[in-house]
Amino acid sequence: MKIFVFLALIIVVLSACKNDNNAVSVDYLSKPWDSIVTSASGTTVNLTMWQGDPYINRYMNEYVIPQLKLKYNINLKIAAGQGNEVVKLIMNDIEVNKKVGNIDLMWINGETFFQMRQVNGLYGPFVNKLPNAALVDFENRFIGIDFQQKTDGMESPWGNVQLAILYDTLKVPNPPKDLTSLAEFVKTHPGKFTIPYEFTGLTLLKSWLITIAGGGDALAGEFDEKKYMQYSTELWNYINSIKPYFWKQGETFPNSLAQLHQMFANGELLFSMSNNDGEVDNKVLQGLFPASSRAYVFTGGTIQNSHYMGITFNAPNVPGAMVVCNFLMSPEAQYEKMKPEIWGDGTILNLAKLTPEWQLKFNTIPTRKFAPKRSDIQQYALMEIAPEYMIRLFDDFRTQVIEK
Amino acid sequence: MLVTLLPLLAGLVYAILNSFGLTGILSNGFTLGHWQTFFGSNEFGISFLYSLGITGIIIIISVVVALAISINYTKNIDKGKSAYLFYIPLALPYIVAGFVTYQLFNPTGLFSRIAYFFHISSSPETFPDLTNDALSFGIIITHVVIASTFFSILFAGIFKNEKLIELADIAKGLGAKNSQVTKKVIIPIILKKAFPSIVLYGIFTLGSYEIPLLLGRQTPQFISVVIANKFQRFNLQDVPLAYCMAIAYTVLIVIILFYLTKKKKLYHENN
Repeated sequence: MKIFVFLALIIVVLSACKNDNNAVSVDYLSKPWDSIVTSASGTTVNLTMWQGDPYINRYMNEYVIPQLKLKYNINLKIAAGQGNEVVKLIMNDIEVNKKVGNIDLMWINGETFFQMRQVNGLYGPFVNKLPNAALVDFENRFIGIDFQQKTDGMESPWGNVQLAILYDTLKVPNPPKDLTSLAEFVKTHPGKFTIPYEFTGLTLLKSWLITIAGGGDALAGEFDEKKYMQYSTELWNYINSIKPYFWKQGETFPNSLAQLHQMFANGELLFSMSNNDGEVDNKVLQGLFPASSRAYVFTGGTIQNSHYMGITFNAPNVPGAMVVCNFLMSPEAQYEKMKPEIWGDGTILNLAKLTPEWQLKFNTIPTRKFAPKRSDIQQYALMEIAPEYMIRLFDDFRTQVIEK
Repeated sequence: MLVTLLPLLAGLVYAILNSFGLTGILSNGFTLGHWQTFFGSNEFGISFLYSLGITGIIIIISVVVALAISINYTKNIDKGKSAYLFYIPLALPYIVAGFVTYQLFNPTGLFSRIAYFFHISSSPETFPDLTNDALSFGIIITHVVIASTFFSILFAGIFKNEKLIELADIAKGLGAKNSQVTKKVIIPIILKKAFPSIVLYGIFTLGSYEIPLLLGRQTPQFISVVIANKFQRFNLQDVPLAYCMAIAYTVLIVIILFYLTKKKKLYHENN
C-alpha cells in the first residue's frame, strides 16, 4: 500500500512540473532593436548579483529599478548570489537539459566568465545588438579583454576598477609602495598586515606575481606552466619570509574581505584592500572607515579589470535582459554609478564617443575625496592574467604558505 | 522512509557516477583519476580527523555541562521566565552565533575592550587569540553554548519522564549517598535514554559549516568547509573531487553510526 501512495505522490509532483523543454525559442539576435524593446516591455527580468555593499544595493534599488520601470516598463527583480553559486545552478540546468531557467541576467567577473564559457552557460553574442555598445571603450584592453579572454560579445561591460590598498594616514603616514618596503614595514609592524584568502587577496597575489615576473605584460597570453613555477616559487619565498610578521603570525588568514575591512576599521590591521579603487570613499561616507583613510596602489602595479553582465543560456526573458544591459551601459546610468557618493565605480564608456554635454558632465563629476585619481594610478594598471594562474595560486597559497 | 531515502540514494548514485567521470558536463568519460587524486592527498583525512576530534570535544563538554545544569536546575529549565534563557541560543542560526562569538572574542572585540578598560591587557594584541585560533576555541565555545542548552532541555525532559526524583528518593531511602545516586542512578539513565540524540547531534556538529567557516583557520578545516570549497571555488575540475570527498564522508558516517549502534546493542544485551 505504501509503495502505491509513494508512486501516486511522485506522479502528482511530476505532473505539477512545468514542461520547460517545450518553450518556444525566438532568435532575438536577428531582430531589430525596437522589436526587442517592445518585447521587453511589461516583462520581469531576474538579475542575480552580489549584494554585499549597501551603496551598490541602493544604486540598484533607488535608481536602476525605477528608471527601468519608467523608461522601458521593465520590472527588475534582484536576487542575491555570487558568481560561483550561479555557475553551479547553470551547470545543473545544462545537465538536466532545462531550456528555460530561472535567471535572466547575472553580474560576472573574469573568473565567472571563464567558468561560464567552459560550460557554455552564456547566451550570445548579444553585445553588438545593444545601441549603447557603440559608446563603450572596447579598444581599451582592460575592458575588451577579460582575464586574457576576448569577451566576444558574450558579456556586456558594466564597470571598471583597479585593486587598491587602503590605509589610515594617521597611523601610516608613509605606506610602503613596493615589495621591498612592504617587507620592511611588515617586519617592523608585526601582526598588522595580512592577505585575505579570497578573490581580492588573489588579485593581490596575481599583481605581485606579475611584478615579480617583470611587470607589464610579462605573464600575458595563455597560462605558462614554466613561468608560473618559476615566479610563483619566488612569490611564495617572499611571502614566507615575512609571514611570521603577519596577523596571527601568518598561521591563518581572513576568509572574507568583510572581515579584513572590519579588522582595518577597528585598528587590528593597518591595511585593507579593495578591488574597487574608489571603495575607500564610500566606506568613509558610510562611516565605516575613519576620514583619514586613503587608498593607493603599489608602484609595481595592481590589477585593473572590468565587471560585466551576462545573460544565461536559458534566460526566460532574453529581450528584457538585453534592454537592462543596454540601460546599464548608458551614459546616464554610468554617470550616476560613477558618483563617489553613489558607488564610485569607474566607467566603461569611451568619453570621446559621447556628446559634448555628456563629456562635460563626466569631466566635471564630483571628484573622489579619499581615493587616488584614476589618471594617477592608470600608469600602474596591470592586465588580468589567464584564469589558470588564479586557480593555481588559490591552491598553492594553501599548500605553499598556509600549511608551511 | 522511502520518501526520505530515495532522493538521498539518488544523490549518492549521482555523486558516485560523477566521481568516476560518468556524468557531469565537464566529464570526459570513465576515469579513476579523481579517486587517485583523493587517495594521493591527505587533505580529506586530516580534515575529517580534525572535525571528528573537535566534535568529540564539543559533545563531551556539552554533555557534562548539560548534566550539571539539568541535575541541579531541573525546575528552572522546565518552568518560569528563566526557562526562556535556555531557548535563546537554540533560536540563533549558526551564522549569527558565529558572528556573536567573533564580536565577543576577537582581539578587538568586546571582551578584549573590557580587558583593556580594566587594565587587564595592555593592548588588543596582548588579548589571547580566541577566534581563528590554533586550538579552535571559537568553534568549540560557540557549539558548546548551543549544544549545552539543547542537551539541558533534553536531559530535563528525561529527568521528568523517567521520574528520576522519585528514583533518587528510593535510592536514598535504601541508604545511597547523594553522589552515589547521581553517579549510579541519574547519569546512567539520562545517558542511556539520550544516547541516540547525542549521537545524532554529534553528526550534525561534525557536518556544521558556518561556524567553522567564520571562526576556524584555513588549515586544518572542518570537512564541510573543505568540500564546499571544492564545489564552489574557482576550479570546476575540482567538482568530481568534491564528490569523492562527499562519498567518503558519507561512508565514514555510516560506519561510525553502525559501530555506535552495535556497541549500544551489545551494552544493552550485557546489562
